[in-house]
Order: sequence, then structure tokens, then C-alpha cells
Amino acid sequence: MDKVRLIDIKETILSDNRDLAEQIRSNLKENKVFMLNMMASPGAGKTTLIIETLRRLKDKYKVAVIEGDIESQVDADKVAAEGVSAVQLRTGGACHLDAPMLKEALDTLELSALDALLIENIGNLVCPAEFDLGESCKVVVLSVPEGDDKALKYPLIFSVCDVLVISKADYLAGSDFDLELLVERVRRLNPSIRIFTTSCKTGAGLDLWCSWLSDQIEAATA
Amino acid sequence: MTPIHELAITEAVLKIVLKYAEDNKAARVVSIHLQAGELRDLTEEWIQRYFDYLSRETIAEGAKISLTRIPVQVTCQGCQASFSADIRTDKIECPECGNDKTELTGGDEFLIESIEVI
Repeated sequence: MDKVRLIDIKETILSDNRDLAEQIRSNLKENKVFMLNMMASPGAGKTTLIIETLRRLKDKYKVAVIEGDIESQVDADKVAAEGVSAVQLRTGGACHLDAPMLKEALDTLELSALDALLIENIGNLVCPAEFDLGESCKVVVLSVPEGDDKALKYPLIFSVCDVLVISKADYLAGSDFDLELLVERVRRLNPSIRIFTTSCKTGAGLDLWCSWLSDQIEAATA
Repeated sequence: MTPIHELAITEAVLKIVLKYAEDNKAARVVSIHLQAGELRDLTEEWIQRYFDYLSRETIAEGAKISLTRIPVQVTCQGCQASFSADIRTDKIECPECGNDKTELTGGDEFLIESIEVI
């Protein structure tokens, strides 16, 4: 009988994805394009936040949106209605975007003509956090109705993101959502995370968020 | 939620395993040892299930997967002591100095540790 041999591997899983993401990152840098990867649960308000962001930035920068919705064209249509070009990635049953999908989308765009790309990842707090897309910045959007315990339940996403946008802050009044506790939980995972509290309904916090985003775009395109 | 990201992850695992098995002129892969930090949401059962499906008619067919979880490591921002903690609770306190200000220093690991082949 053949002897069993042990082979040491110690190789990171998803290294292929990471390598392709690095290529994407350097390609974007060469073309001076800022890319934002926006992640959240379904219904957290990603599309609405993107629309409000486009309204504030589209006259200043050349922006395009990559929509990673599962099978519908709805979100891409909303973006197109703002006069901004949108690439719809039909991911079939997939629960997250990965670097090969992103590359496919980027190949359809004229990168040198763009300043910024906004990616709306698939609605899910688990899988998208695992996959580097080559973005300049990862953002997680958490809406008030989802609850302040999400940082405890989905720690990975809060630990890998550069920014947390708390959305639907207009629901704070009369809810038992503890904003201070949420911030404490998130900072425990990620002390340097930047936090914006917003409401697309009242407009609160949106100018602050967009002014921060403008600074990032300026820095990337300089 | 359907544990579908395990599918993408299992595809990546199979690819790496087959590469190492072939490089080492193996006839068959018997077992695969994975390590994942507690921050990663993964279930061993689903990885095995997807692996059984994806590895059909390869030399890795029938291989047994084991997943070792690596506890989340945090560092106390007060005294710099390093300890493991359950970050899914609010009760994190440095066992050395009692400080509750900590920083994550590990728990997102994700690798193929080794394989056994014949």
C-alpha cells in the first residue's frame, strides 16, 4: 500500500482573486481613477445613497457606476436616469462580486476618461467582505432599521472597511438603536474607520460624506 | 442565507490543492487541512459538500476536509498585552490590566495548511 505523504502548503486561499485585484488597483492608479466598493445588506439604501451622491458629484467629476445586483436591471436604470453611465453585472446566483467580474466590467469602460467609479456590491454582509476588487476604498452602509448589533454579527465586514455610512438616520428618533454603542462596537473592530451618519430622506450628513469623497477623488486624480 | 460563498472559496481551494498534488506527483489526495480565523464566516460542512461535488473525477475526489478555526487575537491599547477574544460579544476586557480598548491583530487568516496525498 502506498504511503501517505504530508505536503505543506501554507498558501492563502483566494490568492488568485487578490492578485487580479492588485492588477486592477494598479491599472486604476495608472489611469487616475478612484474606485469605491459599496457593500451593505439588501435594503440598506445603497442605491439611494449612490443616487444622492451622484447628484452632488456628477457635475464636478466624470463618474460611472458598476451595479452588481443579482438579476435585475432596476438599479442600473435608476443610475442611467441621472445621466450617469452604469454597467450592470449580471451575477446570476452569485452572492458577491469578485475580481474577475470586476475586470470584465472595467474592460467595457474607457478608464482614462473617468475620475471615479462607484461599485454597488451585491446586498449581503457576509461574502462581499471576503473579496478584494481592487478598489481604492471599501464602504459599508448600515441602515438604522437593521439594528446596532450588526457589528457583533458580521465583524469581518466592519473590520475590512475604511468607511461606515450609517443610513436612514431619520429612523433614529423613537427607535432603540443605540448609535453610541454601535460606534463603540465598530471601533473595537476597526479603530481607524471613518463614520458618517446620513439620511437620504432629510439630506442630513450627505454633504459631509460627499465632501470627504470629493477629497478622495481629488487625491486619486491629482 | 444559502452558504454560497463557500462555493467560490471551495473552487479556489480545489485549484490550489490540485496544483500541489500534481507538482508532487500524487496519485490521490486523502485529506486537506484548512485554517480560518474566527472572523471568517465559513462552515466546514458546506465546504466539504461543495468539495465533494467540485472534485468529482479529479485526483482529489473523496478527500476529507478539516477546518481549524483560529481564535481572534486582539491587542490591548493600554498595556499592549495580546489575548484571544470573542468579538461577537461586548465583553472584551484585557486580562492583564482590565482595559476595554483593544485592537484586532488577527482572526482573518485563511489558508490551506497542508494536504495528505498518496
